[in-house]
Amino acid sequence: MWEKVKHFFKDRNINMWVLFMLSIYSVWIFKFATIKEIDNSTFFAIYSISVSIYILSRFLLAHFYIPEKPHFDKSYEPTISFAVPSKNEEENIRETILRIAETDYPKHKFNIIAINDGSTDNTLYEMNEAKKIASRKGVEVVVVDWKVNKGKREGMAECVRLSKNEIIIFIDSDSFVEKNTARELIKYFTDEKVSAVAGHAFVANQNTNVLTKMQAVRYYVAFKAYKASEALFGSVTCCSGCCSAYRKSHLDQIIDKWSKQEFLGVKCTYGDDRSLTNYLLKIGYKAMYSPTAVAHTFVPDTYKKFMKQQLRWKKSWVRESLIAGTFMWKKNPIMSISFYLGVILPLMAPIVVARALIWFPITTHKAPFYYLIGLALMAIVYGLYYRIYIKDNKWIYGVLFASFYTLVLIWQLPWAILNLRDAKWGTR
Amino acid sequence: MNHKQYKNKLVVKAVESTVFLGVLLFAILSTLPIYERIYQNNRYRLETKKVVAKYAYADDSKIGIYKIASIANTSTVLGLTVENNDSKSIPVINYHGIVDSVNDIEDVSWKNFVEQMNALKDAGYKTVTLKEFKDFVDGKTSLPNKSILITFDDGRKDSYYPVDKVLKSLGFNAVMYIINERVDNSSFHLNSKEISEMLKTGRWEIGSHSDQAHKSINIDSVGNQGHWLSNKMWLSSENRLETDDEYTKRIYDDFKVSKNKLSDKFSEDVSSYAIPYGDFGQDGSNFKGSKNLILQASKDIYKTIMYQPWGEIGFRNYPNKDTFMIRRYTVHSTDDATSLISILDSSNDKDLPYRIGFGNKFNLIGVWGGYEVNNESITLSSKDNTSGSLVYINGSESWDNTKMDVVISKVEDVDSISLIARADRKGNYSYCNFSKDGVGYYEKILGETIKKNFWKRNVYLDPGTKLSIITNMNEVKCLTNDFVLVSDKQQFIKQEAGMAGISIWSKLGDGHGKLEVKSIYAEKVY
Repeated sequence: MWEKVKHFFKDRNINMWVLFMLSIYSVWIFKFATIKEIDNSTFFAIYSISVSIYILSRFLLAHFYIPEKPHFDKSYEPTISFAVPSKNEEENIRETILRIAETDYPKHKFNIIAINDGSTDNTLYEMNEAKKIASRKGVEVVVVDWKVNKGKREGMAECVRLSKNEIIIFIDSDSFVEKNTARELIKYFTDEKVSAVAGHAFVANQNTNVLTKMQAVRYYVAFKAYKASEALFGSVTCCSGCCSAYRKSHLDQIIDKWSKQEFLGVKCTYGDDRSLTNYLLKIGYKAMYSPTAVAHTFVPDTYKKFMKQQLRWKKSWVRESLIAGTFMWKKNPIMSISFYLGVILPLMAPIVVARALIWFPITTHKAPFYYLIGLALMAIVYGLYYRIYIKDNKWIYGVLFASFYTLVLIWQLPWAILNLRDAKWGTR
Repeated sequence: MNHKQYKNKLVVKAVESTVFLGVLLFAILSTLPIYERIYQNNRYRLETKKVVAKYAYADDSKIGIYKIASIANTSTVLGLTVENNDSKSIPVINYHGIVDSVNDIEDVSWKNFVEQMNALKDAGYKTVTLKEFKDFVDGKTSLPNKSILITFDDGRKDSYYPVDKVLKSLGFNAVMYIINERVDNSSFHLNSKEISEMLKTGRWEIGSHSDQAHKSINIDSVGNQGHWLSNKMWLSSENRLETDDEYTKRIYDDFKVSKNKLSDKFSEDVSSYAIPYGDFGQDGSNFKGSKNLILQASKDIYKTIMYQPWGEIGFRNYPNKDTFMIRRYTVHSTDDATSLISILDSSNDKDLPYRIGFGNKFNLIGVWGGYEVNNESITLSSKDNTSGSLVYINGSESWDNTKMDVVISKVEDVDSISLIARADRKGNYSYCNFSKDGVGYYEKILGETIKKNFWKRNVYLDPGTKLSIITNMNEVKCLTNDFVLVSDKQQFIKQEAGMAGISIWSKLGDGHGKLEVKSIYAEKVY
């Protein structure tokens, strides 16, 4: 009997769920009991509660997302092109291409388009090597060699133009896919309205150091909760570049406009993935998320690289959020409220954090004790969400990341806004 | 998966989520009050420790040292005589919420409050209990100088949690006036459990601040609002005002209900009542008899009622005089520790002989016009909208048979100078009026001069002239340079003691008239 109960709990991971709920409970208890302490001003109290509601509602909405759809058709086998634009990627490109070639799919129904975008290292050689190996297995690899660097966006566009297949799956040159990734992605395209499907990216170098461990949790929660909660309404705002599938016929409608996108009079050279998704969402197409289509991608392992990447992401986030803001209100009400909250709250965050951590201690000579505890509790909820699904102890780095994000990364946002027009940090 | 399975799965998820959210909500709502109390308790414990540590009065031996120092201090002022340490009167101060940041003038910030309490301790004040207070005003017992009663109105959470630790560390106690209707019905106010715990500390007593009466009601057909107690209620369903009987019953019931319910709930004898808004009908109402009714009803049910004297002067309570209607000073957010102590100290009864302490602004109470106190002199002057000025001497309320001298040092456009005696709190008084034409003895009641005797005399209002007024039993004398010019009987003003004061008047009208005096000196006459 006892064994049965134990198994029942273990199978359903009930202990973790209870822990997770207890942490949510403590967040609210703490918030409400100390609401005056957080701030006497209504604005900051509302902010504090809205942020918690926003984050926790992601988890709730994600829970409602059922990846398996009634319209799935096992016999559906469209033709696929994998698109791999790359620059100076000699270390990973061979592996990336060969992993794709291993895909469990009829060989005549897919090909790989690799673009060497003016690399200054041996990328082209590695591509050709991979092509030789793959063609021995019957997989067609098209290598396009550009002597001059044209940028990732141009590379992606070229792949679309060259492909004659129905589905295009963009794979980052430092991302590895699994054998079934393509099959999992294409399932969604039986729905005519679906234009894009994001795969789930795991961090390939997650055990390198604290930074990559933190990012492992961040990626997991970003996909599992945030993307899933958007996918519930068919409106994933960013089908990330590392592994996402697109319907070619839909891409054809926008690819030229997209490749020449300008913002504030400057050509856009970063945030290509978010921008591409945005173009399709604007027309009214759906963007989905498949948790079973897995890719493994490399993340920055030094703080310098990481901060640069994050700043780039923030800049494209600001730009694309402004654009998405013009049409998101047409979507499902929950989706649009979520979207606008998701834009407004981070924009206000630097003010709130500055007030809590700088202005408040200076004027009242009190340590921002309550703010930090509230923050820590929310970070624990974030970490435990990871722990529910992934049974390793990296969740603790999730707690660390959530705190790190609020205390450090948040400051990039005002900087990113001020430097919106500066295209210096283009992708790669 | 077919559509049906998909739908079923969604339903299961919806049920799961609803159950989860329900449990969460229930858990939060049911346990939140516990955590709120833990938080409030600890929060103020930590902060009080920090602030009070500075003063270290929790240590009784230090209070002893302070006492000695304070006696030494007063004895040097008064020379060799040993001070009579009994108090002639006792002040009552009143607070509402003690808050983090002030939005309402009747609330006081926590920091300010702690400073005020420490300043009280510093100045040698000791709190008394309601019983000690009542025995004192009934004339049964005496109290040492610098006794004080501290009260809080409304029974709010934020007048208990931020306060209790401060009281504890200073060895003070206080009275909480509770609105019975709000107990257990408002998260802003203390609930029964909290009140019981509060009483258990031994630092708190409770009084009633009404049951329903702490609110406004419609008082006529067009929706004008008035205070619950002092007005007849408009019964809109019947399109009429309450009858006398209904009104009387409502008032009596409310007084009774709050007394009985609070007494029962907390096994305390609740015999003190704080009038909501301090309004017992003294300032008008839609029913003439409301003041008498409220006073009668409260007298029938309570032993003391607390009010804030609107338009009256002073807030000290005297034995055998203020036995039922107790006057309080409401501390506002604009008062700080220094001004509170000054207000209290300067209102202290002035023993005769008394020479006004120059430099202390609070030794005068400005009634109208302007005044200024410097180190060497006092100046009375008109304001732009007054043709003169009137001040009382703070703490002179217990002066009975007295001679008061005023020596003129500068005079500008002043046509008459009055020396005031036996003024009561509402501004009724006797006075000698000195002008170039002669001397008048007048009595003023309810703003009207009703006794007017005038004698033509040669009076010089020049620098160096000394003006005096003597009140002895019911005899009044007006003097210049110690020469009795006139002598008269006090007729309408019945009281034998009261405040002294000075006023000036200029016939040139608003903004004119200025008098500087070198000294004000008062002594007892026998």
